[in-house]
Amino acid sequence: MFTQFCGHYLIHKNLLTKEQFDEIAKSESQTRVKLGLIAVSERFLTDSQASEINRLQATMDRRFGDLAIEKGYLTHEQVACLLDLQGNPYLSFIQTVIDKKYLTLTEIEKALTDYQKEFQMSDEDMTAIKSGDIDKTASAFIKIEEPYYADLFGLALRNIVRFITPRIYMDKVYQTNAYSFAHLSSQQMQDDHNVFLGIAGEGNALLSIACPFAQEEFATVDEDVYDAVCEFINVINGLFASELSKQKIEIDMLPPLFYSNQTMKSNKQFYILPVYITGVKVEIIISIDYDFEII
Amino acid sequence: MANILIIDDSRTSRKMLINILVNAGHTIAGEANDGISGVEMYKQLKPDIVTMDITMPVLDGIGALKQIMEYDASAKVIMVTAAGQQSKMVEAIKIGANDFVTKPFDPDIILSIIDNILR
Repeated sequence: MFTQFCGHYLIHKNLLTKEQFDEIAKSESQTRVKLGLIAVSERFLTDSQASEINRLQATMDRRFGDLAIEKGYLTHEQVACLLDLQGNPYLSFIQTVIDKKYLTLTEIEKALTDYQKEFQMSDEDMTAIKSGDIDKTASAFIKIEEPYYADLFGLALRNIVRFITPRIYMDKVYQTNAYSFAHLSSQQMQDDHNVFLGIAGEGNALLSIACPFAQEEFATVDEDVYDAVCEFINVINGLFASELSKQKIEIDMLPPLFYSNQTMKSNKQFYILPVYITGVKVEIIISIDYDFEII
Repeated sequence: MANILIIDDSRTSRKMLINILVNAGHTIAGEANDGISGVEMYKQLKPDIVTMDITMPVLDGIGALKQIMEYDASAKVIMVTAAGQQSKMVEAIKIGANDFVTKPFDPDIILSIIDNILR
C-alpha cells in the first residue's frame, strides 16, 4: 500500500512517470532492501559510515551487520532492529526507486516531507502509512469520533484489499451534507441503527470494483455493474452486522439499491472517503443514524 | 447430481453460484430474480433443490420459503445470506429450510451441503 501512496504522489509532483511507477510496482516485491540503506534511513549510520562498511563487505565477504558491530558503529540490538525492518514496504519502495536510479534517497525523503506538510499528517500518521498495514494506514486518513464510522470504513477497505486488489490508496475522509454523483451502488441497514453504505464513482470508475469482484469484463456501467458493486457492499455490510451482533446490536439488511446522476442530501453531514483502486477514484459514503434523501 | 433452482435478486450472485454448481456437475433448473417468480418457478419446474437469497425486494427469502414449504413440505431449500443474519437463519430453519450458506460463497461448503441433502 505504501507504494501506491508514495508512487502516485511522486507522479502527481512530476517526480516519477507512470511508466516508472509501473516498473517499481512490478519489481519491488523482488527487491531485498540493503541493510546499509535501512541504517541510514533510520539514522543509525551516516552515509559515509554505510559506504565504508559496503566497501569492506566487497573485500571481506562478511555480513554488513557484523562489520558495523566490529567497527563500533552499531550495537547488536540495532542490527536486530534493522533486520526486522528489512521487510518494510516503505524501505522496499525506496530501495527499488534508488536501484532503478529514478530518484535519490534525499529526493524521496523531501517528497515525503512535502507530502506530510501538504496533507497535514502527524509523524504518527506518516509512521502508520510507511508501515503498509491497511488498518494503521486507514487510521491516518479516517479520524472520526462518532461510533462505528471508522469500523465500517476500515471493513470496507480491508474487503477491497481482500476481494478487489491491494493496490489502493486513499485521501482523507471528509464531511458533506450534499453529495452529487454519477453512479452509486448502496445498501441500507436498519433496526438498532440506520446505516447507509454506498460506493460512488464518475465515468466507469465502478468497474474497478465490479470487474474483479464479479470476475467479469464489463465495458461500461450498467445494471450488472451496479449489481456487482451492490453485492460487494452486501458482503461488507454482512460482516459489519455480524460484528455488531456480538455486541447484542441488531441491524437488518435491506435490498441494495443503485442510482445514477443524483444527489444525496441530509440535514446532517455524512462522511465520504475517497479511495483510489489501481489509480481509479471511487468514494465510499457512510451515514449512520441520520436522515437523508437521494433526489 | 441435482437440478437446482436459483432464487436471488442479484445477477452477480446467481452467476457465481451457477458457476460453482455447474462446474461440479449439477444442472440449473432455472433462475428467478425475486421471491414471487421464484415460488411460481418452483411449482412449474419442481427442482431437486432450491437456493434462496434472504434479502430480496417485494417478497423476501423468508416469505418465499414459507410459500414453497406450504406448497411442498418435502422441498429442499438452502438459504443464501450475507453474514450477520443469524436470526433470519434460525427463522428459516424453523420454517423448514435444510441449511444455509453465507456470501461470499465457499464452493466446498455449498457442494458439501448439496451432497448431504442428496444423500
